Amino acid sequence: MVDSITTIITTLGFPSVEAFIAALFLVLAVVAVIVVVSTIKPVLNMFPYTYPNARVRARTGRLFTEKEFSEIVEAENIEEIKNYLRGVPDYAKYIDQYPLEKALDSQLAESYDLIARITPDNSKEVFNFLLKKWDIRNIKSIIIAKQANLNLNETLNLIVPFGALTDKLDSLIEADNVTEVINGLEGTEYPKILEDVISTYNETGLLLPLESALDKYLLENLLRSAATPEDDNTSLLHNYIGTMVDVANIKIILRAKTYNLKYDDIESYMISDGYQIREWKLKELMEAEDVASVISSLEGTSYAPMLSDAMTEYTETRSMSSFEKALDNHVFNTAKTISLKNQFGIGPMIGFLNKKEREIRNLKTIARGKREEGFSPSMIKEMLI
Amino acid sequence: MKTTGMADFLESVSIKDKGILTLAKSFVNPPRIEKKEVENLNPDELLENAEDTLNRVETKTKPLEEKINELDAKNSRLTNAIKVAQNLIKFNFEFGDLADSKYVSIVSGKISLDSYEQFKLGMKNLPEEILVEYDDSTDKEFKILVIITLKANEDKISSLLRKLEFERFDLSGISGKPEEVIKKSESRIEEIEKEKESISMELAVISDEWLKELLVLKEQLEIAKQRSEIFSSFGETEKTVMFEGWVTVKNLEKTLDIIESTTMGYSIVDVSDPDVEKDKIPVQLDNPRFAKPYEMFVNMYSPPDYREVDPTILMAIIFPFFFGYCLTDAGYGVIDAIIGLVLFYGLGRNSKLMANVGLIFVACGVWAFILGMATNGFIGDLFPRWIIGVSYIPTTIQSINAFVFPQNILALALIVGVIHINMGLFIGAYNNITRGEVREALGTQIVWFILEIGVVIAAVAYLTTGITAAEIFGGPVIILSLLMLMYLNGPYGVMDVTGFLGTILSYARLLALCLSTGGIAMTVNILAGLADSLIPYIGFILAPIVFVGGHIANCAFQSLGAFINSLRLHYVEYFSQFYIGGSHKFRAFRTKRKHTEIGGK
Amino acid sequence: MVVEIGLGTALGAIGAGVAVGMACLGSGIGQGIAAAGSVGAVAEDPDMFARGLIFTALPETQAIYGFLIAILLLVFSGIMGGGAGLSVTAGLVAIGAGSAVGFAGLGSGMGQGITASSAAGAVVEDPDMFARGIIFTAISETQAIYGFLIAILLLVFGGIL
Repeated sequence: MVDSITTIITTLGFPSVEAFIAALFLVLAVVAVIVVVSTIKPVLNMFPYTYPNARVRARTGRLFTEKEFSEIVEAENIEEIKNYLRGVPDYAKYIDQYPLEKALDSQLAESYDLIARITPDNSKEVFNFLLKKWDIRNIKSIIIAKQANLNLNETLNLIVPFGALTDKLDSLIEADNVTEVINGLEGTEYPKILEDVISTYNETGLLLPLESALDKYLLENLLRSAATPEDDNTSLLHNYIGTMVDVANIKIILRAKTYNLKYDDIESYMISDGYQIREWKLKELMEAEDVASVISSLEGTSYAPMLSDAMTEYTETRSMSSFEKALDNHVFNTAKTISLKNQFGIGPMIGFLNKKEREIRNLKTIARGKREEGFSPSMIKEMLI
Repeated sequence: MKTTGMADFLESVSIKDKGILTLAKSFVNPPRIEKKEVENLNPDELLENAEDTLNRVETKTKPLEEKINELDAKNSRLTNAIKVAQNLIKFNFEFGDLADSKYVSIVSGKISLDSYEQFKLGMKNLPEEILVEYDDSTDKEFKILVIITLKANEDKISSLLRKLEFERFDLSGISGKPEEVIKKSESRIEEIEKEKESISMELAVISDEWLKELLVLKEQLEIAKQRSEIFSSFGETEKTVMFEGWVTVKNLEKTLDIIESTTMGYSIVDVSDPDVEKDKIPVQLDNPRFAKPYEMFVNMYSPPDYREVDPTILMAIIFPFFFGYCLTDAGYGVIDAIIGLVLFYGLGRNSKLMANVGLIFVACGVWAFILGMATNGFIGDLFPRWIIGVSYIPTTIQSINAFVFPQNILALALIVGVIHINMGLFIGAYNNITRGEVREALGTQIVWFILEIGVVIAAVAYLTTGITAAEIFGGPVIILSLLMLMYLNGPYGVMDVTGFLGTILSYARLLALCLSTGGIAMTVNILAGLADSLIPYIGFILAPIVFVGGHIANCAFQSLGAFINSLRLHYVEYFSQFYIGGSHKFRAFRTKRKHTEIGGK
Repeated sequence: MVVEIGLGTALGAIGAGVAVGMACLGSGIGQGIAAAGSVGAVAEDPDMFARGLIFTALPETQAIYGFLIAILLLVFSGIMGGGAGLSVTAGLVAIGAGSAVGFAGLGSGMGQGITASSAAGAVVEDPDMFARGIIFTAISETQAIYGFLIAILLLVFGGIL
């Protein structure tokens, strides 16, 4: 046996058994390295997401179930809703500090803040931009408050204590008028955005240009920050963000068309590019005559089917809400698909944010229903999404 | 709800004995929860009672709580003062002088170095009546500024500073020189801490007095709440109520009696057997005491279907055996059994769950001990290595001495696997046939019996006569079973054979785990021995540490592994042969009393 | 204590190295993933600590198997404790055994780690998932057990043990 092995080895051209074994090892080692590297790579791609996903899934598990929602809907008044939320640790700390609406927004903003903090580096920028939503909301709230001459406390109630501007908020609130607020923003990116429109504001005293400039900045940069996907995860994120931006664009156009506004009227409010609906398509949509032609020129995009469904309802009621509902549902479904498709990557985070948005929106709907007269629990339930 | 809050609060302030000894004691011999006798009150009286008690407790705790909050506020003010004083220590101002006066305004604070440059630039555009004092410290990030200016210029300065992330110090209520402030504040904080401590002591006394009562109250309220909630599922008219529910056959008579006596005969009860097809029948497992703990495992998987054999008893017998097989170390077995006993007589006193877990541990430990003694495993090779001169424990059965004949243990494991699987198949066949699903029984269970018989015949024929005999006698039976597979489960049914083989091979884990326990234990022993003989001077101290630490870790890990793998063998390999499950557990509507009991019993 | 090491014994040493190295590589990566998931779960719900620990501990088995085979090889090849060395053929067998348990542990450990971290996430979302989470996690241990089994069989029938 040993002899025959030795003869085989020598006929193969190896000087000795030892040399053969050494060569064998070299081959084995190379194979081993290839095996190890190729198996480890996909695993290491998953690795950065395991920690955030566990946290996010814990929070997903704590979202209100249908049953809990129907319990909340049954509440007699706002106080009872507050009491209910006080029993939920995630909400408790805000409910005691702030009025209900602010508490709900703060909780939502906290979720965005959490995700922006724990997400892996390659998607951090996008989530940070998403978090800016709250900065922009706060700035808008403060300018509106200044314009309306609200006092300090009333203004504070509009502010959500999250985002990159939290340190500055105090000094902004103390400002006397809109111009001073914008001056106070010195050192951030916002004065530059507002530079062009501030003159319009000074002439007309209208806040709309300021607000839309801020919104535009957010959406444009959001899309840009997500536009260069590195891997599956970031390209899914791009998909989600893109859908959000597209939906925002379509909403603006549809709303403008219901008021019969022309291309020139809305052009300055639109963001210049979209995800599925690119620049040229946006121009085409803006040039459309009325709502129906907007819908028909969307043919071929994934937004067409549901919008044409909503169109029938629109012709009956003449209200935008059917479109808005359809579009919001589309965003929700996109997020849901992503979260189901991509269990080990970014999916759970997108799914969670979206579900949280819905939960907060539902809670606000309930709160509004309870505040106003004449809404029975079953009517409120109808309004939930 | 308020009661819960108060009870939690009192629990949090009650003084806890610290130290490992008391912790250990609470495991071994926890105080028995004393039940308080209560009357069966109606909800209104109960509520009144509850509010009354709560108010009384609150009047006692409230002032103390407020005082603590006040002290905390004071504390944070002082901490702030210290911080500010530390920052301004270089200036050595009198803090009282830094307050704004009629014409002069003074701002002090911290600014980052980058912003400081911008600040200097910005200053050029401002009027000159501004005095800026800054410390010349070498801090790399921040500069401390004190800016003194006329009131008239204050706005300009503050709007400049606002842009620059200037952290303004809050000087209100601070007076004296920085160093004095620091000293004074520190001593004051110490006083406050002492005061707080004495208040916590007071609270703890209150807690001692009232906590129990509140827990009792909480339980009563909980029960009252459940009682009132159940009404929502009743049907009712103006004068009657109607309800529907499940009751176990065992308790039927008793239930009827209760209904009869509480309604004084004014009731109609309709008893019917469940409809197995349509009703979702809840399942109540009923097992002898020794098997009761294992209901937990069965329910964890999914409670059995109403018409199905309850596998709990079989599991109660086999689970500890598998555990023992995986662990096969007498020493570790003894440790596990002792832990089980402690759990049973200690924590188990107040918690049924713990008692059950304790019983499982004891059974598992005993099996591990028996099998360990038989396979020459007692804390690895402790005995042969150091204590007695022979290479095995006297009780060892030589042919299954783990490290001498592992192949025998492997064979044994596979045999155990085959028996276990066949048991599962048998129950499955029985289940299916009683339901009238004969085809299903043939395709998923009986066919394997035939295959096994074929293999056995072939094996016996091969051993006694030779290969041809095996083909003649065993072959047809095997082929028959394969045909049945194809006929009953479709053309790919034959592929199931590999799955079946895999299932049986999976029982090899019994051997793997058995050897890994002994092997690691042996390694620990070897390392301990090496530590003793190789490391000079401290070796003989190090060796016991290695020995004890290593064995504790090994015992914990292997017990966990043995536990999980025996559970897995049941869930994955065994249950998949027959188990249907999917019903839900029977949950009786009843009161759970932990802190109270109804008087008069 | 220094042993005269022949070629066979040296091959056995390589086997031991592969066994413990590869198995620990897999187990380590797996445990890392499981730990990251568990830490996330515990951050949200401190009660998860014990359960998170169990999930994190699960992918340890592969390392234990690898370690055990390595120790057996060291002992029986005479590197540890002193004894007769291995022949070249036996050394090659030892490498086979080491690779078996090592690579099996590598795959099994990583797989188990992913499942364990996922299970920790699932349990914190829905505590009823615990038992099922454990079972799913335990399933990817089978491969390691196969590897270990073959390694033991190689040692026994290859005349090393």
